[in-house]
This record gives sequence, C-alpha cells and structure tokens, in this order.
Amino acid sequence: MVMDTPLSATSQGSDPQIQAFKKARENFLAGLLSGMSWLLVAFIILFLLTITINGWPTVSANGFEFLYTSPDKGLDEGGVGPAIFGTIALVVLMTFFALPVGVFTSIYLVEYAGGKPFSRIIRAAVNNLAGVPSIVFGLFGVAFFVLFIGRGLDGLLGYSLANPLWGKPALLWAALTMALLVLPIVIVNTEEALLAVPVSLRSASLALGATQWETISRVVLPQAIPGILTGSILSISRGAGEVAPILFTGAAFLLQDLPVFPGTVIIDPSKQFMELGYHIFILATQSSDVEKTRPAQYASTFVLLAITFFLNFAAIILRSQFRKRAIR
Amino acid sequence: MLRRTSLKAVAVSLTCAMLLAPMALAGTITLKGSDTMVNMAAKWANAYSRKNPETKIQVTGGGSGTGIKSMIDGQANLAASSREMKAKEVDGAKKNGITPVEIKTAIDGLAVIVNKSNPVKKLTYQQLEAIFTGQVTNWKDVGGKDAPISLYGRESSSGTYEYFREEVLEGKNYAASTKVLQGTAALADAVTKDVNGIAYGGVGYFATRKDLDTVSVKKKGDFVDPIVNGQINDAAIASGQYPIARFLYLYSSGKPSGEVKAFVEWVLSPAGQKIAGAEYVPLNASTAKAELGKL
Amino acid sequence: MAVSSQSKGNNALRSDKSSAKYTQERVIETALLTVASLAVASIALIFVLLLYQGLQGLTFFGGDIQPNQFWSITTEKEDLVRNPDGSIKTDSEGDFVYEKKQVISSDWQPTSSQLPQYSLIPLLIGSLKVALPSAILAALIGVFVAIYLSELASVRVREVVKPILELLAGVPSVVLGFFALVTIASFVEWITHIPVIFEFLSQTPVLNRLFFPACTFAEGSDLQSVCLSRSQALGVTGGYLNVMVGALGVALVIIPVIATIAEDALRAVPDSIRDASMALGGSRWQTAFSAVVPAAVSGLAAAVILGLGRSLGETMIVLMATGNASITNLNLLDSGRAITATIAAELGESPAGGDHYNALFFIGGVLFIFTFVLNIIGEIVINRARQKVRGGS
Repeated sequence: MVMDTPLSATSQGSDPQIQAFKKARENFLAGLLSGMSWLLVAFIILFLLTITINGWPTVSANGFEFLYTSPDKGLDEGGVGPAIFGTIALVVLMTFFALPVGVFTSIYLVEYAGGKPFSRIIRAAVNNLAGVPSIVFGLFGVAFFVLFIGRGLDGLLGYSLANPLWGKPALLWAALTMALLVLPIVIVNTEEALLAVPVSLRSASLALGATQWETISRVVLPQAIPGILTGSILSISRGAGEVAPILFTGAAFLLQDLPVFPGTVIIDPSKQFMELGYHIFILATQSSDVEKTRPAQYASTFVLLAITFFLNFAAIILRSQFRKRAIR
Repeated sequence: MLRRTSLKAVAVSLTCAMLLAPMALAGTITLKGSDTMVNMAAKWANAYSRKNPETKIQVTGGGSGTGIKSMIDGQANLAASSREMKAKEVDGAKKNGITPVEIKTAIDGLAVIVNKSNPVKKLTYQQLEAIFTGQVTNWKDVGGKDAPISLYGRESSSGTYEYFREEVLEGKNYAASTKVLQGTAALADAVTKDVNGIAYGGVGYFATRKDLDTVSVKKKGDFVDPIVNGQINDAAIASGQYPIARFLYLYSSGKPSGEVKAFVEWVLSPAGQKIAGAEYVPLNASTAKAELGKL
Repeated sequence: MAVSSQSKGNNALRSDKSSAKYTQERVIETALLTVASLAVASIALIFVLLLYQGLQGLTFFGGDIQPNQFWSITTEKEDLVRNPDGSIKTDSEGDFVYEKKQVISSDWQPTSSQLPQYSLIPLLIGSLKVALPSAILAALIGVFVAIYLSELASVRVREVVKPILELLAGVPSVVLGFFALVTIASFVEWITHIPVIFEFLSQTPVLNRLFFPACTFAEGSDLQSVCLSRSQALGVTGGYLNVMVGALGVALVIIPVIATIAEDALRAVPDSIRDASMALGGSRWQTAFSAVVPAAVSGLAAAVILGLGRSLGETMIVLMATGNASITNLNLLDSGRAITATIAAELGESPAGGDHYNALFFIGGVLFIFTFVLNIIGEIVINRARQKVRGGS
C-alpha cells in the first residue's frame, strides 16, 4: 500500500510539462522545508542573542557583583546571589531524592522485571508522570507534602498550627515536588545506560559465581555511571528551570538570609528560599517599575539560561562519550 | 563504599536539620501579603536589618488574601494587607487560636490610569463602575473617542482588587473581559502600550511615570487628581478629599512581642514612615501615635 | 529486556551453601520492586488527591458548590438602560439607570462578593484557545523540521541544526514567558497591523472570526470601515497581551518535543522502503513525501497529540503572556484564562479546604484527565506505529 504512490508518481512522468511542474513543486517543497528549518535556527540564535546582549552588561558590571549580591531597595537594585544559592540548594536536595529512586526503579525495570506485566504498568506510570502538567505537581505538593505530611509531622512533633515548622512552604517540600517531576528523566536515561551495558559482561560475572545483585552493583552499575550522570544532569537542568511546582511549596519573593542554619553553610530544608526562575517571574510582572528593572530581568534570564545550557551541554558531551564507549 | 558513607552523611545531616530547625526560627520575622506593599515592606526589611543585623526579615508577596491566609495558618508573623480583614477571616483566625492585631502603616491612594493619548482625563464613580463592570464598553460613552475600552485589573488575591470593587464597583463583579495581570507595575506597562487601556493601582507606582496619565475622580463634589505635577497629592489623599484611598495595614498574629514588636515600632517611627512616604502617603503624627498605642 | 533472562542463572544459588545469599537476593529484589512502585504510587496518589480534594467542594460531599455551578447558573444582574439613540439613560439627578435581569451566567468569579461562580467554560475555552493554535503551529514547524532533518538534510546540516533544536528544548518556560512578554507581544501587535496581513486576517472567512471578529460584518457596510480604521489606528482589539502571544511562546516549547518524536517516527521507517522508492526512480523528495511520510504517519500523529498534551499543561508562559481574562470568545487576539494560569494565580490566596481551594483542585483534576488521556492515546499510537513498521518491513 505504501509502495504504490511513488510508482504511480514516476510512471506518469513522461509529459515534459508535468515533469516541469513536478520539478517546480519539488523545489518549492525543498525551499519550504529547509527554509522553515533554517528560519527556526535563525530565530533561536536571535532569541539567545537578544537575552545575551541585554543581559550581559548587567551581569558583568562591577566584577560580576550581580551574581553574588542580594537584591536591594525592594527588588529594584542589587543582584541575584540568594536566588542562585536557592536554586542550587533546591536541585541538590531534589537530586538527593530523585536519583536513588530513579536509579533503583530503572535497575528493577531492566535487570529484574523483564516481561512481567507489572513492569509494563511501571513503565506506563513513568511515561504518564512525564506528561503531568507542572502546575499539577504544584497542587499535589501543597496538598500532600505541605498540608498532609507537613502538618502531620507538626502534629507529631508538637508544633501548633499557629507556629508550624513543617506545615508551611519549605525547601524540603519544593525539592520533593520537583523530584517527582524529574523522576521520569532520571529513569529513562538510567534505563538507556543499563541497557547499553553488554549482556556478555553480566554473563561473565554470573558465570564466575557472583549473585545477581553483586553483578549489578559491581559490574553493571559502574559501567552505567556516565549514563546515570547524564540523566541526573538533565534532571537538574529541568529542575532549575521549572517554576510552577515551587510557586506554593517553597519559593519566596525576597529573603534576606539564605536557607541555611545561621552561621553555617548547611542547608536548612525547613526554610523558604529565593529561586532564579521565580525571581524572573516576579521581576517581570511585580517589581515596582517594570521598565526600570528590565536590565535586571534580562540579566537574571541570562544567568538562568547560562546555567541550564551549561548543564545540558555537559549532559550532551557525557552522553556522546558513553554512547561511543557502548558501541566499542 | 565511599558513596555509601557520603549518603549516610547527608542522611544524618538531614535528620539533624529536622531537629535543629526550631532554633533557626529565632530572629526571623516572616512578613507576607499585599503586592501593593511588598516593595515598601522589602525596603523596610532592608533598612531595618541594616540597623539590626541580628533580625532577619523574610518578605513574600502574593496578595493581601495570601498574606492574611498565611498569618491565620501561622505561616507568617505579619500579614501585609491593603484592605481590612474580613469578618470571615477574623473568625478563621480565632478558630486557630489567633487574635489578629491591626496596625495602620500608611495611606494609599488608588489612581485610575489611562494611556497618554486618551482624551478622557475625568471620570465619575458612576462612570468607573459602568466601565469596570463591563456595562460601558466604548470610550465614546464616557466622552472619549469611538474605540473599545480595554480593561486591565489585578488578580483576585490582591487587596487592591477587593478594595476597588467594594469602594467603586459597589461590590459588583468585574467584567469578565478584564485582563488580569500579576502586578501594578505590569498594569502601568500594559496601559502605556495599549491606547485603549484603563487600569487602577496604587498611586505610588505612577507618580514618576511620564508615559501614562492618572484620571481625576469624582465621588461627590469636585474632580480630584491624585497626582499633581508629578507629585503625589498627599494633602487630598490624607484628608479624604480624593475618594479612592485606604489604609495599608500590617496584621500581627496576636499582640506583637519581641522582635516583631520592635520592627513594627520602627515602621511607625519617622524612619519607617519616611520609607513609606517614598511611595505612599505617610501617617500623620497623631495616627501613628494611636497605632503605637495598640502594641 | 533481554537482560533479565539472565536472572534464571540464580537458580544455582538455591544450594544450601548459599541460601543466605539467596535470601539476600530476594530481599534486594523486593526492595527494588518497592522503590519502583513509587512511580505508580505517585501517579495514582496525584489522581486520587485531585479527585478527592476537587470533589470536596461539591454539596454532595459537604461543600457549597452545586455540580451545575461548574457549568452555568441562573443569576441576577444589573444592566445599564440605554436611550434609543444609544446613549446611557440617566435619572433626574444625572445618575445612571440600571435594571435587574435574570441571566444564565457561566463566569469564573470565585471570589465574588455576591455569589462565587465556578464555571469551567471560560477556563476550558481559555486553555483550548492557547493549546490548539500553538499545537497546530508547532506541528507544522516541528514535523517539517523533522522531515527535513531525517530525510533530506546532509549529515553536516543535521549536526548543526539538531543541537540548536536541543538548545531550544532546554530553555526553561519562565524564560520563554519573559520573552513572550517583552518581545513576542510587540511582534504580534506589529505583524497583525502590516496592511497586507491585516487585510488577509480580517477578510478571509474563517480567519477573521479568529483574529478580527469586529470585521466579520457584511462587506461595504459602515461597520467594516469603522473596524478597519479602528483596528489599524488603535491597536489590536484585545490589547497587547493576548492568546496569540501566549500560543507563540508555548509553540516554542513544543516544537522541539514534536520534532524529536516525529524524527524518531521517521527514522523507524525501514530503509527498505526508501530503497524501493529510490529504485523505482523516485527522487529524495518523492521518497520522503510519497513513501516515508505515509509510512510514518501515525507516529507523526502521535507526536502532535503528545505536543498538544504538553501545551495544555504549560503554565508560566500562559500566566505571563495571555492577559488571563476569563472571557468566552474565540478571538485569538483577545485574552483568555487557561486552567493552568488560573491555578497558578489563585492557589496562594485560597484558604486550604475552602470552596475556592477545592474548585482549583477540581479544575486541576480536569486538566490532569485531559493530559492523561492525550498521553495514553499518544503512547498507544506510537506503539502501534512501531509494530506496524516492524511488521511491514
């Protein structure tokens, strides 16, 4: 069925006029397709240039103080230091939750589940989790983590409703919400990495008398580490950029202190935090003079883009490395 | 092996974090609420912490309703609100064992803004009501050009939204066609770009802007412009001659004590009021004294 | 998956000597299974929670919302009275005259001081007004780019274009929202007012309803010239933040999504089909359009369906760029209030457990079901396509 279209297309092609028309149509399609692709490329480059040209001067002014100073005069002046720190704290904590769960899930799927029907259910669940809108994660985070678990914890620990410790938006809840969102990314990449480890290695290990878990933990996993790393970097990049899930689970407009224990650098997961993406949203829509803070908006956007691109770039390099190795 | 130990270390520190966290609460004031007030509150926080570095003030916006809700739920020490607490909210607070204390901190005049090119510079309460409820949809009905009116407003979480509705719209619903933006500055931005736009917002946001016009408003009596020659019309707003004006409040969860009390006292002091005066109309001396008496 | 057959090798462990190890293995497997179930548990939990909390608002479950309130209600409304010449009627004191009317209302007014209204109609229209145009646009561009990359472009070109496309995929949506707000908004205003384009959009039958409904009146009538001069002189009807601005921003998010899935679908077409077409004298273009694309058509459809799911769920761009007015027209140059933006804007203010809060979970549940169904359909179509391609080769 698929085959007869080209056949008929060529067999009628004897008339020179039709030939010319076909040629013209082909040229038109060629132009359209490549034109559209290159237009898209040009647009993306233009978009990145716009952000860079408008953002770089503010970022690089006064020895890059934009990167480490706090906002001042409300949000009108100053830098994004606390927002960068908050973003890092968020993704660190998020990875702490998402990575083990994601890796163990993939190990189960690849090494144990095989064709078991339950593995298909897990896979379907992972696929669908990837398709859940980010704001729905936000709803879930508020209702489940903040109000259900957080308040429950406060009840157990003896904190009143009036003075809660966990029953309020906090870094911990934002990180857990975000961990759910990036879980599919970790799983898909880890699965790919595990599948790329040659079966012969497993057979060899098993033949030498190693148990299956010994084989996985000592032979398969070390081989798959670059792939797992790729997955976690991609998930960090995604987590650093998402705003909707943290709107109500932990992000704050302006904080004067970092989400750490006073006088230390240990992250305090019960505190709220500033975050780059949320900061951009606030600056672009709620600062006292949107036009006046435009340079700061571009600069914050530039910083966030630079961070996500750096992470994505690292992931791409890593992935191409381990794919090469897998082929060998 | 190494990985396992580091995992354990993180787990241990996380557990410690859970146990130690209450100690971290000391010295932190959480202030949440009105977007109208968030910039002023942030400036208060900056200035106050510079003088009292041991006190950390956490400022979050989201709207008056959000702030009051957080205060009721115990998630904030102070709620910044650009409207009075509703009876329903006070009841909710009492149910949680909280008796909110109301402190006036500044006066805000709400200005109605239009595009610079719009010839309509005067509107009565009646006209404003008809415009914002969507009954009048063409500028020619209020003395302007034959052009559709493009409405801009705030999210329903905003105290400005509620105050304007109760004061000017007599409690009627805003027109569904009102475009809803996240902040007053965004409204100003929209009206400068949309020649048919009209919006409302805290007068402090518009005083310095040359690219839009505030409308003179009449309730009873004369038309009064909230901004005269680029200056906020302090006298008219404080005296109530300009009708769309309201107090800006801080609500404390219970009688403020310790650091919260010190901070609120400072807000009512000349230093705090000077910052308020940059965007809004400061309290006069007798009101400020009366408010201090509540603490 | 071939890998797991190796686990049968563990049967050797059942000897007495290693029974401890065998137990350990079983424990590990069970532990892994438990962790793996977390994904299933969380998606189930998300659904149950949205449903549970969303339905709490209904009178049936103890809330104050009648089920029909999610659609429309009959309510009283005051309308201005007009004189025959169209001017507003005033009484002796110069006050406007209003008259009360019974109307069927389907508004989203959850914090109304009169009667809270929770109609889904404006929100569904808002969501679709953003999602459909963005999906159509992204489908066109995404599929074309995929065909170009997979069938026609040289390896060199691919190596340039592909990473740039991946770059776009990595841009956070809040950044695109910002870009939509500061740049795309002006762009849309500019481009819709270039005379040629304005004429095209306002005179072409279906398009004029979507872009310039004020211009759909009979030709030559006064209204049309009014509309023309009005729209040209005064700006886009819906103001500078509108659904089209949001849709363009969202399209940028889903172009890479659609392009990637579509390219996978095209690459899954076996080379034998290409070879056959070429052998019969087809050029590369003929092969691509007459042989490869028809073979991959269901995969391409799946790409578009999954893209549509993504665009329905996009939040930050829609929140920042569409103006968020809860209106019920189909005008793309007017505003719209999508479900996602509504949740993002209102969840913070609604006291937990109240009707408004529950209503937000209800619309969240509706959104979840929409995207869930689209994802399932997309997955099924992709799997079918894979089997078909494999079977056909």
